[in-house]
Amino acid sequence: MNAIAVLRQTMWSGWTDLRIVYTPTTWAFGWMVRVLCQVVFYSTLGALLGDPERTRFLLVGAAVFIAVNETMMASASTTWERGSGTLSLLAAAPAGMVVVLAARSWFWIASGTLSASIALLALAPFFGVRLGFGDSLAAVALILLTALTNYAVGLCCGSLSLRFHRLRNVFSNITLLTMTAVCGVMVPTSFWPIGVQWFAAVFPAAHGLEAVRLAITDAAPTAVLAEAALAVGTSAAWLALAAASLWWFQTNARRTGSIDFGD
Amino acid sequence: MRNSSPAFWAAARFQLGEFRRDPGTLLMLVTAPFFAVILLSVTEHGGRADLAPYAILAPAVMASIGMAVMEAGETIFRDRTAGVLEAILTTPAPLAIVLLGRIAAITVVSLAGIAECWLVGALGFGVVVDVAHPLVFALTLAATAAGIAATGVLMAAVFVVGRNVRSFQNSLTFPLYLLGGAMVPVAMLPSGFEALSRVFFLSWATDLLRDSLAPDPVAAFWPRLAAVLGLAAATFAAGSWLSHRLVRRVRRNGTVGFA
Repeated sequence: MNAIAVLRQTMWSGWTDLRIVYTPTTWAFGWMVRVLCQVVFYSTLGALLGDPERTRFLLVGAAVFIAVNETMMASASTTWERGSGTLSLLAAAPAGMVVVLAARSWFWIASGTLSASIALLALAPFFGVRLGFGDSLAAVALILLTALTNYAVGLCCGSLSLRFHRLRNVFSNITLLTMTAVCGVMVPTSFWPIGVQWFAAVFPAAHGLEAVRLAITDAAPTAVLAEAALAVGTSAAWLALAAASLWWFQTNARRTGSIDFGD
Repeated sequence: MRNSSPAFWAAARFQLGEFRRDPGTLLMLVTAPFFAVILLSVTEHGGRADLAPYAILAPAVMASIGMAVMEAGETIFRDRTAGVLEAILTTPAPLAIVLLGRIAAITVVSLAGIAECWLVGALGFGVVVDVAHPLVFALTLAATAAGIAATGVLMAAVFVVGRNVRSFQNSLTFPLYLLGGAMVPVAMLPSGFEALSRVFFLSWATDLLRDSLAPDPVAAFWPRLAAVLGLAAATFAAGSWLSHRLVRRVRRNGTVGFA
């Protein structure tokens, strides 16, 4: 079976998973209600501070980070093969498990982009953010880029979750909240000491979000592209780390016969 | 209630053991300090030191209500998956009391979030929040804990018949934080939201908790505490009634394990 056929099957499997996670009703009246409430929750901090500019900053950060939030769920979904009992079958298959595990959670990228875009575009008028058609289009494209590049971070957490199954949500939540604190979501990265700013720069989401902020404030296209390139570059490093970690998991699990025994 | 007491304590003991067996259930307590850092960074960056108590109290309240709601769903999900739910329903102990025991234990443990967040403020940001009215704070906290446990019971009762328990439990947290005025007082929400939030005990509780930290005298303390307790009691009554009805339904339909 060639790599494209493996990817096709994996993506179909992921799509099936998404349909189990959400029905149209639970997505619209469960998940999206939570998403909108989450963005409103953070945006109203600006009202509490009495600063409309802060409100706009918080709205954009909170909305774009919904895409990051959802792609971090790849941490948990990477372990679903264990729950299904198919992990050992994947290890035995000639295609190996690295490509399958790396691609199986793709649906979070699509779902995250959609949720974050709806949150940003629907709530922007209520919080004083004016987005024209071009701005909206650029924002959605860059939200997709943010989700795509952050997926590699989620995958890294997923590779850890395969080893420590019970902590699958702990890894992703801690990483997500760390990014939320330092990556310019709630306060500019310049608020933090220089060491923390360097640390924040290793996360693709920090650059993806900055690219969105620049794009909707009519910054020079080169500045937007530079941030987008940094997001892609840092994501490549995370992807290599995730692939190495998954490969090591597979090799070690085969050697020790521990593939079905997490924790 | 006399007969229900052993079931309550047994359920509470079981839940405490569950924390040891599965540390993932303490996730909210792990995340609370991160939320404290996030919210404190916003108030500090905005130059509003007066809002620091809000930023320390909010993550603790969020951890507490979040843990109750998440674990309410997980309790039902795990018991159903393990085939224990059917066994529980065959015992004379009312399900609402078993749930109350488990969620009360969760709520008591979750109050550790207050100490965590206070320490984040003191050690991370040099912000030391004093409790100006300790008695008001303690009484309100006790009433809040009762309300949170009652909310958990209500949610768990709904989850007994819910197929998509997990997707809904994950969706409930932020609506509850928003309507409960965890960080931003509900008076600052649009009027429709404010009216809705006033039937939720947490909106009264968070206002009162914030007032207990401020040096100004707390206005109308007893009526406001009565509102917290009254709404908490109403929530528990609704949870008990619902669990009784829904348990009867799944027993009649034979869908306890498959709902």
